[in-house]
Amino acid sequence: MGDFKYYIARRLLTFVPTLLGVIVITFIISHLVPALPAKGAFARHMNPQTLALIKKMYHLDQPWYIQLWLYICDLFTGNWGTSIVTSRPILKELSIYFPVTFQLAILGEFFILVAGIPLGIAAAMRNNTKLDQAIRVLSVIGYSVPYFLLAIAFQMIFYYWLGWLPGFGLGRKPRVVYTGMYLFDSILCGDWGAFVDNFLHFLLPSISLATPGAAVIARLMRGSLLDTLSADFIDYCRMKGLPERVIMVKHALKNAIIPIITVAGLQFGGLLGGAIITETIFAIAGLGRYLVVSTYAMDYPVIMAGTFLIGLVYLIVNFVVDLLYAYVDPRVRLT
Amino acid sequence: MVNDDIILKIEDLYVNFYTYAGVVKAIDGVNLEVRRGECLGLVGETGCGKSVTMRSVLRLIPPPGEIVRGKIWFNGVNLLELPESEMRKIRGNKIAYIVQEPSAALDPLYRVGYQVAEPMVYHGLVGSFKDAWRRVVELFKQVMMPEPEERARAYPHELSGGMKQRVVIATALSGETELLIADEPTTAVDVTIQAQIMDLLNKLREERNLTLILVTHNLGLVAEMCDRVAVMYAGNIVELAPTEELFKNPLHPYVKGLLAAVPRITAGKDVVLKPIPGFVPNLIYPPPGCRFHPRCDKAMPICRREKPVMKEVAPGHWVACHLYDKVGGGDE
Repeated sequence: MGDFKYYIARRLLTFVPTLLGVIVITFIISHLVPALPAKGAFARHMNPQTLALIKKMYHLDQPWYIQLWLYICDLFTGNWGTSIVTSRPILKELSIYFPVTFQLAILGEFFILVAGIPLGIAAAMRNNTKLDQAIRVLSVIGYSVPYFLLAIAFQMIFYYWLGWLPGFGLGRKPRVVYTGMYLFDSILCGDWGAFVDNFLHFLLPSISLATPGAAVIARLMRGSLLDTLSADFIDYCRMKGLPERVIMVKHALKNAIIPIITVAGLQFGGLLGGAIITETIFAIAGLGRYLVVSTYAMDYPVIMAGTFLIGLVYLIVNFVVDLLYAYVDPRVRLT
Repeated sequence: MVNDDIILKIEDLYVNFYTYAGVVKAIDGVNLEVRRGECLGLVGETGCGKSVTMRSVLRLIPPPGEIVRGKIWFNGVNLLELPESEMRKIRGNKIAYIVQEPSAALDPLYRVGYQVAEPMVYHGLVGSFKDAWRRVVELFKQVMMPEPEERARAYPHELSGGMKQRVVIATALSGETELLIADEPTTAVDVTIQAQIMDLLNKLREERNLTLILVTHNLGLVAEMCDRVAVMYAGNIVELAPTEELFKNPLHPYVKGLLAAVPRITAGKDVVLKPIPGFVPNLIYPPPGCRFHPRCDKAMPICRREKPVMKEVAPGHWVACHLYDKVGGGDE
């Protein structure tokens, strides 16, 4: 496992420059926005002196590289700035909204994998049968239906008509809140009532969020497994007289799962950034909605902080994906 | 010949491939006996059915191929009638297969030592992977793998082609191997390694009293290694003889043509190689009668009507050709 440790170290080295890149890009984008931020928020109600004061307060009178430097220093010392609109510390607001979205994304990814992988395996093992065709058709439908449509349909059917599941909002607050992720918190403090309530509230949003992803994973898994099953080394395993179950689990599935790991990681990032519509439809106060509202209000410190946070999580997820990847496939550790 | 000497007997084997274009009659009534302890060469062009015949022995014909009928006796048991679970116990244990492309045959995600150990564990020859590891290192020494202990811990991508072939050979020896089928074992490695691998196979065959079937299109290899040779053409065995006899006195027009097409280093530069005219037939619509007759310069009317059967024209020398109908007292 020596080469594995070496791989982790090298991979960590690339982490820092990537993170700096994320910061610079978010900084540039928010400063390229044609409206002067300070003006955007207050211009209509403000005299020139106040405007100059605000400019000074946000260091907007300094050259861009000083601004960038100050920004980076503040980010790493935990001072993520103050929202122009609400005048509250951004870090505090993010700590309320981000856990909600993160929880939604985790649950979404969970449903993607739990539905996508078994369906893909079933389709590959019953290749060219009715079951396979059914799964393939379903998956085409799954990823071609726009998910706002799916979300609204789910809401109509399961909440409005059938009344089986709650249709909007968060569940009951658990007894103790540690992280802001209610599902996680209710497990930690053993509040099972709150757990079930939150789970039911998140069921429709996360399933509608997961459907396109699950459809992609099912197709990918099917293709990948069929590819692997036709590989020479599977044939050779049969020649060695290994039981079919061992061939399937230890050799075919392990090889077939490699592309799934990569795609699942990318999808998780997409879920974080793409939850906006879902959060709007199901009235969930998450990061997506917070950022959209801030964008309309030109609350640029919030946009920068939010984008940075999503970028950071994305980087961490990809780091974990790369570690998993190297753990499964020894060839990766070389590169 | 005493029947006990026969380790493998293929009787009247037919294999079809059911493709969209039609039914490919890939193996068309093959009969073959392999004696215990011998080295038999199975020679023929690409696509003549040598690999398919050998894979039938393991009952691992890739779909859409299917064994239509026939019997394959191994140590007196008809393999084609065994339940799959019994067949599995024979594969990789009593009958081992050495594949053509060792690089593609090894799972890239597992250490090679683990992959050699797998059949031992699942055939119940050792208690655990830990016990198997000692055997693996021993086997690696037997196949003359340099630094066997380190190599056992290597992944396939860390080994050269020749070393991977040694891994595959070690795997083949891991069971209670009686019959070793080597399907073009040296096509994927270069010539010097080729010689080493063949020497190794020869040595192991003597040490462990194995029966070796060498599937190849390399006639030089056959001349060097084999006791007897069977030549296949378009799904049939057309000639079977002791190696020396076959090279000195080929009888079937196809085999004659095959030997005439081999360059000889002693023959000088001016000798023109003689290719066999025509093409390998399409086996969806094989020629009636003898499958070679459209390319045969000695074809007779009977060749178009009747399929020739194998006849012993000299002791141990069998041929399937109407030219020799009268020889050997053949009464039709």
